[in-house]
Amino acid sequence: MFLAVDLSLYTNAIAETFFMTLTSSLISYLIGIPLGVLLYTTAKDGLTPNAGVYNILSLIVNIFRSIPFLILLILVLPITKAIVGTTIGAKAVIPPLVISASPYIARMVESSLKEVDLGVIEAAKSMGATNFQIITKVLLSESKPSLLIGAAISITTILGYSAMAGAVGGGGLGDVAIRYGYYRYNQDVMLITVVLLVIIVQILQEIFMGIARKSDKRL
Amino acid sequence: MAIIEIKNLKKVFNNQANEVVALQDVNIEVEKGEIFGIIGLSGAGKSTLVRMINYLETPTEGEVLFEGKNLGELKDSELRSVRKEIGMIFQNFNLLEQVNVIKNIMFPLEISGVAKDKAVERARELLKLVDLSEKEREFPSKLSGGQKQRVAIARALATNPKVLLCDEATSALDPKTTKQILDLLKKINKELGVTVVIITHQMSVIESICDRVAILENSKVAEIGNVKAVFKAPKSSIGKKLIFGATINKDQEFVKPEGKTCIRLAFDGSMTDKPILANMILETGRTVSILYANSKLIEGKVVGQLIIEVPDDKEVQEHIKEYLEKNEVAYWEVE
Repeated sequence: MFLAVDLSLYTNAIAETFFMTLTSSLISYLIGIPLGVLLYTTAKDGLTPNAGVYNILSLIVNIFRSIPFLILLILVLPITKAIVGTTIGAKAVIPPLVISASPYIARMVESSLKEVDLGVIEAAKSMGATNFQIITKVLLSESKPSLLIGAAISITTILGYSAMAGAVGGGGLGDVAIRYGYYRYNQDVMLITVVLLVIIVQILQEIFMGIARKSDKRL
Repeated sequence: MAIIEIKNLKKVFNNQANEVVALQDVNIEVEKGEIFGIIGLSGAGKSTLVRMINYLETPTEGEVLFEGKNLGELKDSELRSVRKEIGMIFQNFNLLEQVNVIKNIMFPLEISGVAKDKAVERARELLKLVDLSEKEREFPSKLSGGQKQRVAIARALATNPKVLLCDEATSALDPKTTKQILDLLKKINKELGVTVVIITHQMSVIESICDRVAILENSKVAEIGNVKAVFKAPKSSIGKKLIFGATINKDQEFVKPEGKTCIRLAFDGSMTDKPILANMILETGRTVSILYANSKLIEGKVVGQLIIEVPDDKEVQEHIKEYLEKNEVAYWEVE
C-alpha cells in the first residue's frame, strides 16, 4: 500500500523538517560566523594572533564536533528543556542542532576566510583600515562565494541531523521514517521519506550553489 | 625637509631556530616631490624595507619618520591616519575581486567615512586620471594586468596621499604595459606632486623614471645617489653588476678578447655633443677599435657606454687615460 498513511503526515513532516533545519541553521550561523572570525583573527597568521584564545576556542570547537549527534541530543536534554520548555517535538531539536552545528560552521567560516588573498588584506591595512573594517568589508565580502558553498554543505548536514532527531521524538521526516517506517515495518513510508529527504537536500544544495556561482565575480 | 627619513633601520626575522637579518644599517632620506628608486636582487630586503615605510612591518631597531613624525611612537589610530597619506600599490595589484572597479577605488574613502556621493565623484575623477572611465562597472577579473594596476593606482590615490609606495608594481607586466604604468607614475609625480618610492629589481625602471636610487645588497644599502651619477659611475660592485650587467647582457654577452686591453667609457648626458672618441684619436695619434656600444635617452639626454680596444703599448694607454680624465669621461679597464 503506497499511501498507507494520510498525505498530511508527509506535508506536516516536510514543514517541520524545514522549520528545524532553517531555524537551527540561522541561529547556528549567528553563532558560527563570529566564532569563525574569532578563530581566523586569533590564528597564528591572523589579524591579531593570540595563541591562548585560539587554542581554547579550537579545543572547545573540536570537543563539540567530536560528540556524536545522537549522544549530544540526549546529553543536552536539560538545556533543551530550560530553553524551549519541552524535550519533544521539532522545537526541542533546535538547541542540540545549534550546539552541534555552530562549531562545525565556525570551522567552515574559518576555512573560507583563509582563502582570502593575504595581499588584499595587506592592501586594506596600507589604506589605514581598522581590523573591524578588514573583517566586514574585506574578509566577509571577498569570501562570500566560499561562505555560500559552505552554507550549502552546512545546511544539508543540519538537515541530515534533524532527521536523526526522529529517534527521540523530534518530529519531521526522520520522525515519520522511524515511527511509521521502522517501528511499524512500513517499508513504503520509509522509502517515501527517504526519497523526500533526498529531494530536499538536492534542492537546497542546488539553490545555494547557484547563489554562490552567481555571486562570484571572479568567474 | 625630507618627507621620509629612515634612520639606522634594522629588521630581524625569527625563523624557527635561527635569526635572519633582513635589513641593517639602512639610512635613507626621501625628498618631497622626488621619485626615489630602491633596487636590489631578490632577497636583498627591498620588500621588507618598503613595508617599514608605512609600518606594515615593524622595524627591529631604528626609526622611520614621515614628515618628521616617528611612526614607532604613534598610537594605532594615529598610524592609520598616517597610512591614509601614504598610498601603496603592489606587484599582484591586490584588488578586491568581488566588487567592481569604482567600488575598489571608493574603498579607501569608504573606510575613511567619506560620504558616498563625494566618494563616487572622487572615484570618477581618478578613473579619468588613469584613463579607465569606461571600465567603471567592470569587475577586476575582466581587466588586463595593466588595467588592474591602473585601478590600484587610482585606489591608492583616492585619499590624496603625499607619498605613493610601489612594490614591484611593474614586475608582473609586459614591457609595453610597464612603460605605460611608469609614464602614469611620472605624470602623477609631476602633476599632483606626489612623492613616489619605487621598489624594483628592474634596472630599466630606475633608469626611466627615478631621480635618485638606493642599491640594496646583502641587507644593506650598497650605494645611494642621483640616478644619472650612479648610472655613469657606479661605485659598488653590485651597482656595476646591475648597471653594466643589465645593459650588456640584454643585448649580447661581451667577452673580452684574450690578451687585449679594453676600456669601458661611460657617458652622461652632458658630453654627447663633443666628438670624444674622434678627438681622442686625433690627440693621441693612435687608433682604437669599438667593440661594444650602447646608448639610450634618459630625460632627453644621451647616456651610454662604449667598450674600446686600445693598443698594448703602456705609454699609449696612459696617454688615452690622461685624455679621458682631462675630459671628465668615466672609464674603467675591463677585467
